[in-house]
Formats: sequence, structure tokens, C-alpha cells
Amino acid sequence: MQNVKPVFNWARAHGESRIVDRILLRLLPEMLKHDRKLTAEMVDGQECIEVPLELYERIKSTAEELVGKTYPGVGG
Amino acid sequence: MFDINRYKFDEDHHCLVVAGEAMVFHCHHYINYLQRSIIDAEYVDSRPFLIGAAADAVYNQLKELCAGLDEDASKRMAEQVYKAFGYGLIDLSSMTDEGVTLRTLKSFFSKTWTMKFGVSAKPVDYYTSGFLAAAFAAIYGYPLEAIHAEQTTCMACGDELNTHVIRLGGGNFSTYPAKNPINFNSIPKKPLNWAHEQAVTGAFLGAHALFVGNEQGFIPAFGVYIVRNQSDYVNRLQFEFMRAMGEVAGEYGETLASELLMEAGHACGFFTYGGIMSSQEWEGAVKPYLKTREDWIYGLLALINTMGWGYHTVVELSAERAVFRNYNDFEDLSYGRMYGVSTRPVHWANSGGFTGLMQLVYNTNLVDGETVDTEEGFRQMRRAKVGYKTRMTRGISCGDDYLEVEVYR
Repeated sequence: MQNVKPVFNWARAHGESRIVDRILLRLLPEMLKHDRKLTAEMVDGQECIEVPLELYERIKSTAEELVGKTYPGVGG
Repeated sequence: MFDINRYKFDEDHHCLVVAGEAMVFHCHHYINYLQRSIIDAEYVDSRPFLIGAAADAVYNQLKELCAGLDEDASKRMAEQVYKAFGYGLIDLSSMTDEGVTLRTLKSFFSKTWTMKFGVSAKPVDYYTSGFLAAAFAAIYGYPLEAIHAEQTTCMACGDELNTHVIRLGGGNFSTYPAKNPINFNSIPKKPLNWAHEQAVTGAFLGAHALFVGNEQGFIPAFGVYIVRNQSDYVNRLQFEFMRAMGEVAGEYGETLASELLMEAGHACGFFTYGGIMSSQEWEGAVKPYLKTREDWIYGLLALINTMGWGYHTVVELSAERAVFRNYNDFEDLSYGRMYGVSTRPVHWANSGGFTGLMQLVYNTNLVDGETVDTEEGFRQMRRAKVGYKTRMTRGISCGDDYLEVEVYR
């Protein structure tokens, strides 16, 4: 499991408004596959969002694609 | 041949109907954001309704406009409607009863998609494919179900021009049952309760007819490009998207979709209303009446009540909270025509637009002459300020007398 909240924070800081909603919409089938129903409101309200590594990687790569930059990692 | 001035603006219902189709303006920010949100959901087979929504609305309209015209005159009518509404330019002279391979260099969708998002991986002008399918069907007497429509090249993908192939055989887009008549709500409206409402509304009444396509078939206005949409076309995109998302993931899918539908309206409200409130027309005809930030909102509502989106009013208004209403809003009227009664509010564009307006007036220095009119400016402003939340509380399609939206911090 890995905390994906920093990825969302990074996307929000560098991407368009509603970038989190857009990532979640893109990844809806993956979310369902992992039995997760994350919304932007839930992302806002949680300090830590632990997800399986496979889902973490999908969220990270989608965020990078939509923002157009490489995620530097925590502290980057 | 086609002249928008022949169609009288309905001052009672704040609506314009052209040949049976209610018409609404949308800006390129709204329509492209909406379309991209739909396309983003790659697991939804959206191409059939992206084309079909356009084909259905345009077919109904062109059937009426072309009634009694011969083949050539019908082609000219379709070309002129397309241009007047701001979609670009099409030349139908090569269309026959077998179809057409149409090429054009002027496409609202391809041009403005690139302006807003850059290069696209796939063609983006679904509307024109639907328009051409509808024109082909209306002119030659075919049912829409018999027509195949496809865009094969697109300037938004880097191609030199757009190509649409329209032919008989193997209908490849959605078609829909006949629509209900427009059912206007005639209950008394709660007025804006602003001393200058009539002065502002009166100054802009009829101004909608100035917004027709230029020599390139585009309508640049207020710092954006606008199109005069068949209301049922653009609203069916929303409703079909929401339906599809519900089928994929139930309430969760609908929640994700509704946030992005509202954001499309928010961007529209922010850029278009911002453009209006920075314009010379506003400076001359509205600004003399404005003393407070609230006056800016009253003034904007009084002005846009002449544009065919229904009658907007506000019943509570402060920087912290506002309650907006729209009597005969275009989304609810569309839903009623196409789907009947809804179990929940469906006016995402209106709601996002109201939220964008609040953001503009209370979260920027627009009233002091400082404009935020770029994508990056929009993003930075959204990040820097605590945004407004939106709650859709009433909807005409749900049986209420009016649309109502609460916007609050």
C-alpha cells in the first residue's frame, strides 16, 4: 500500500482546476477494480490515502500525463 | 436566405427558438471542456452520442428550414445556418444523394480545441459530422438511421484541414425518439429587485442578433469564441454522459461526472462573464449603475436575461452566500423536451455559471478593472482563493417552479 495523497497535492499545485476530478474520472474502472470510490471531496478531507501499489502507479502516471510534468516524489 | 432577425426573441420566457429548436450561446471554454470531459471517460462509447446529439437537433431544424426549398437552395440554407451560428464554413456543392466528402479549413471545434488544449490525439469536430449527416438526411429525404458519418482528418490533430465523410449505409451514431413540445413555465417571476434592471435589459434586448458568424464563420466576442447551439444538442451531451457514467458506476460515476459538468459551466461563467464585464458595452451601458460588488451581479443578470438562457434572478446575495434562480432555464427545458421528468436537478451549466460569477465578483479584483482572462490566470486564481461551493436545490425538470442554486463559501 502507498499513500497517494502527495500525488494529488502535487497535481493540484501544478495542474488545471479540478485536476483531481479529472484523474478520478479517467481512472474510474481502476478505482472500481480496487473497490475504491474516491472523490475530490474525500481527497481534500483525508491526510493519508493508502492505495494498492498498482493503483498508486496508475494515479501517478495519469497525474503526470494530465499535468504534463514528471512527479518529483515526496519532498521534490 | 437565413436571417436570425426573422426569429423573434421571446421576452416572456427569455428564449429564442429557430425552426422548432431553442437556441443558446455557449463559449469555447464551456463546450470544449464539456466535450473533453466526455472523451476523457475512454471506457464510455461516447462517439455515437457526440455525433447523434448534433444530428438529431440539426435534422429537426433543417427539415423545417428547408421545407419547400429545392436541392440547391436547401444546401445554401444549411451552409448559411452553419456559418451564422458560428461553427465555421462548409461548402455543400459536392453533396449528392450518395453523400459527400467534405473538406473545410474553418471549424469552430478544431480551432478552439487547439486554442484551449493544444493538439488532440483524435478528431474533435463531432458536431460537424452530425450537422452534415443531418443536412444530408434532410435534403435527400433519408432517415438518420441510414447514415454513416465520420471525421477522417482534423486540424486539431495537426492535419491541414478537416475532412468529414458522409454516406448511406450502416448508421453509426445514436438516434432518438421524437421530442416533446417546449413546455414553458408561466408562473410569476421573482424580479431582480434592482432599480436599474429594466434600463440594462432594455439596452441589450435584441443584441443577441449581432452575434452571427463573420466571413470565417466564427463569432469572436468578449474575448472568447461563441457558438449559437441548438440547446437540445449541447444538453443531450450532458444528459447522455451522465446516463453512461451511471451505467458504468452508479452514483459514484454520476458524482464524478457532475463535478466536471459543473466545472465546464464555471469556466464559461468565469471567462465569458468576465469578458462581458470588461467590455466597452458594459462600460457604457451598465457600469454607470454599479456602486457595489452586488450591483455587478445584478447588472450581469439583467444583461444576460436578453441572451436566451431564461430569466436569471437572485433572491439572496452576499459575498458569503447567494441563492440564484432561473425561470425557464435552457437545461431543464431541454430535459423536459427530450426525457420528461427527472429525479434530480440537471442544471450543471447554469449552476457552474453562477459559481463562476460569484468567483469573479468576490474573488478577483475585476470590479477594480483588473482582469483575469488567461488559462494560467484562471488556474492560479482558483488555487489561491477559497472557492465557492455549489448546491443544486431545485429544478424545473424535477417538478419545481424554477431552478434554484445555492452558492456559498
